[in-house]
Amino acid sequence: MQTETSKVDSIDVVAISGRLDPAAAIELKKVFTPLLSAGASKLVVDMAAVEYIGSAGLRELFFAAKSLERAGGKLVCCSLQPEVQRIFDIAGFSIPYQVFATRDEAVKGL
Amino acid sequence: MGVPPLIYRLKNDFQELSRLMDAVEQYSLIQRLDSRTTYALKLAVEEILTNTILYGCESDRAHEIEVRVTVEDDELILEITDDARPFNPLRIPAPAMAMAGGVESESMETPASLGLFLVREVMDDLEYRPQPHGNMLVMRKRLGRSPSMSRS
Repeated sequence: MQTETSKVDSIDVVAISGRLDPAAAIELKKVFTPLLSAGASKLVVDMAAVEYIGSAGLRELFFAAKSLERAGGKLVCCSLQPEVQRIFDIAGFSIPYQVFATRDEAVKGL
Repeated sequence: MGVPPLIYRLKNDFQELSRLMDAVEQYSLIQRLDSRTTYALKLAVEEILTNTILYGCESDRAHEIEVRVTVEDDELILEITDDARPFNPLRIPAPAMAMAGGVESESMETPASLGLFLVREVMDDLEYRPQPHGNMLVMRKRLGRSPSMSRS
């Protein structure tokens, strides 16, 4: 897994690529933690290049979303590949975290 | 001639799990599994083995785990056998689902629960077979393709 962090106005964007397996989930936590402690409040997770996510990856997204919510912010995901979208649907993630088709829509939706 | 089964033996070590995932990916390509079936297979292998390594194995000794994947009669069959402490994953309750359709936070605190829930959802059938010195889990997924396509 690789990540790329950028900023659009006041919105932080984390683009993830590759497999979000248990080892990658630990790395993802290390990407989220400094953003959250630096006071990020709006976060877009761009998953266009994520081909796989398991429960460990879902859990890290969940905890980051909860942490932002407590601070009055919000996390949204965008550009899910069909099989990743299916896992989001099965886990019931699509509704609480809002999933947008594109990064532009996600930025506008925040 | 059919494709021989994938038989992979590993210790309770996450680095070995990563190599196993490459072998599973390769097997999926050889068997020409579609993207949904390949995803289900990878998810089941990874979630079940993660649970076994983290919770089933005492960390002070090496354990043997065997993964067997085969395609028979239009069905994908995944068998995972270990010598870990007795554990029936089918007895783990499904995570509580919130009103909005999301997984509730307390379910996320118990890692085994969400992973096993996902495996149950993506596979068609799970069967636990207790072994004299460990566990065996047999998971099946129907492929829904014609028999002529599963040969070659």
